[in-house]
Amino acid sequence: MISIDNLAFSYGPKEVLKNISMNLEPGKIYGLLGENGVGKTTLLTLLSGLKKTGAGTIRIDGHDPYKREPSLLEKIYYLPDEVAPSPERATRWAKSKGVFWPGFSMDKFLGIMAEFETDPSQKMTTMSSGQLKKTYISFALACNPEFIFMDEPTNGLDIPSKAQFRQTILRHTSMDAILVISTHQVRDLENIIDPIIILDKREVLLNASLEEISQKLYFDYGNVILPDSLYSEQLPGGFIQVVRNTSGQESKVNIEALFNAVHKNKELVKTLFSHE
Amino acid sequence: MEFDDNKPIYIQIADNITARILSGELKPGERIPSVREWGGNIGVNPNTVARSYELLSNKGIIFNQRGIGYFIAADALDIISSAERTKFIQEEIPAFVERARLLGIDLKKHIQ
Amino acid sequence: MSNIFNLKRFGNYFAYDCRRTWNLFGLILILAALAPAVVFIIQQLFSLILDGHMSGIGEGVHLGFMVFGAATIAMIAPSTIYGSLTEKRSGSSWLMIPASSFEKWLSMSLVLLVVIMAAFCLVFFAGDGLMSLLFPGTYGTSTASEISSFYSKYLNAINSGEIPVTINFPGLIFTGMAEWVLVFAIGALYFKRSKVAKTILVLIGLSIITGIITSFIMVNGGADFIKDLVQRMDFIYEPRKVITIFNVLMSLRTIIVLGGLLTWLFFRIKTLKH
Repeated sequence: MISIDNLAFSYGPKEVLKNISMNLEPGKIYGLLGENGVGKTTLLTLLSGLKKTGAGTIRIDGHDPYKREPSLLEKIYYLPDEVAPSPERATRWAKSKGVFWPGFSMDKFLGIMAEFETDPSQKMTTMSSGQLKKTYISFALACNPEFIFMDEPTNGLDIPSKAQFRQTILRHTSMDAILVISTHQVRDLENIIDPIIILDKREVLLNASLEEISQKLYFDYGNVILPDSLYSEQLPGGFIQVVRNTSGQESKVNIEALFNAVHKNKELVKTLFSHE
Repeated sequence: MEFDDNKPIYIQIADNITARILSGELKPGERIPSVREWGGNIGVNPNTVARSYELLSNKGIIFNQRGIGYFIAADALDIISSAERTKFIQEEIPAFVERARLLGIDLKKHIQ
Repeated sequence: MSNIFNLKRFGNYFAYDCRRTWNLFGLILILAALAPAVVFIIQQLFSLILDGHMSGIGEGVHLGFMVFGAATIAMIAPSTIYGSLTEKRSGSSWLMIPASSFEKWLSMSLVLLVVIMAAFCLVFFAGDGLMSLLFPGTYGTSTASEISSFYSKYLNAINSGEIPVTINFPGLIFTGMAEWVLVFAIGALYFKRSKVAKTILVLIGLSIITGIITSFIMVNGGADFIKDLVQRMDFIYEPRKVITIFNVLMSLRTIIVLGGLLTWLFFRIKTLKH
């Protein structure tokens, strides 16, 4: 369980996060969405203990990640957007780094690399950025962490690899793990993220499961323009419109449309999804 | 698996499983993959697949044996067929008739 | 399993750190340690070609190489091995490695203060010794034997009473080197670019400032204060006492400086952010 309580963080005078509170539960794959620069990376680095909170607390299983206690670090893997190669073969690198995570399995690392069709005997400094990313993703999952924080993991992956990534994440993470994956390429993670967290300038606009979202909002794909739509966009086959769900009928949640609808109706969404 | 836009994904997955039972690909009494496995194969969050399984369970098409997994019910085919027949009679036929009427087609001329 | 120190985990981390050090710095270290041998060979080749014979080299050249080499190694080792820690990608990755800040600090200190220095000396004495064996006439005596003959002269002087006090050479050299390395280690973890150059500039700046402050104090009554103090110290005429006091003060200074630098390094590691 991860508890974030009234978290605030500033880079010098610039306030990046303010009053962020949420509880993240085991067994869920959270999609952290938000425009560029809104604080997704900052939130992930704070969760990893790489930064110190300005105000408020973060507790992972009761521990403050900034303390960097090895007993907690062994359960976490943080995968940043940009990764650095090591001047050695991927297998050697994984072997020497894997000793620090008790759950690490070399077989699992090699297995996932094979799924990604990436040669583990290659020297990391000669890999393309996509191959390097896949190497790190394989390592992260092979550590079998309880808490996985990934910042834009599909950045730099070609299209087949993105699809492979979705399957790999689902297959190789434990049922009780908490995953937080940030992205601004929503389509890359469509169908695997649930719940959805939408972060905006310094606050959380939405934190809800797909089920709850489809109960409170209706996504219409027809041709008839609906009044009171929270957001509408013309698509080749018709429209996509987001309205309040008054009929109780569930529809397929389109995350991009959801994102836009939330941004255009911040106050309404907050009230709609408030749990008070 | 490709998903179209009109129905919630969990319903589309349930439909897909139902179709596979109808076609004989999945047989009554057979064990189906766990929620995680199925999700992993098609790239969908287990929560969503869980709702599909719940839907199918409620209809009696599959059942859960605790500790072992989900299985296709022995009478799954019957349940599905009867549900499909009901749907055909209650939804598809009226829709068909209405469409013929809109187009001004006299059905009696075309049906033996 | 303690969160501050666990032997097995530390062992793993130290091994990892040493491997990293070897990958990033091993070649440089060996080259610096074999510098006298290499330079000698090149010099002799030129000598043979130009003059037709081998030429001797001056006294104390080897020691010079050793001192210069060690000092240079001490300056560039920290930034070469640990410099990437201030960079976001490598630094984040390093911070997330499951080992305590204490273990990471201990490993860094051991690598910089013990492992590198020991490796340097080993390779240096080996290369230097080999050269003096192969070319006794031109290369001269090995540094090792020079040092030991110096040391026996020193011991004689102690025993015969010529010198009134023992000087802990190894201790002095080690702590001197340690201070030097640690300063550059701290610089490597603070500056992002041109770490060595900036550290040197800071050192120069600090010595200028302390120089100015000291002269200011001296001019404004400091000199008189010290004159009074000395006059009030009657034991000034007993060399033994003076030496003891000097010893104590210098040891204290070393402990404070080394302790301070090591502590600073620890806190820098503990509070490093990305």
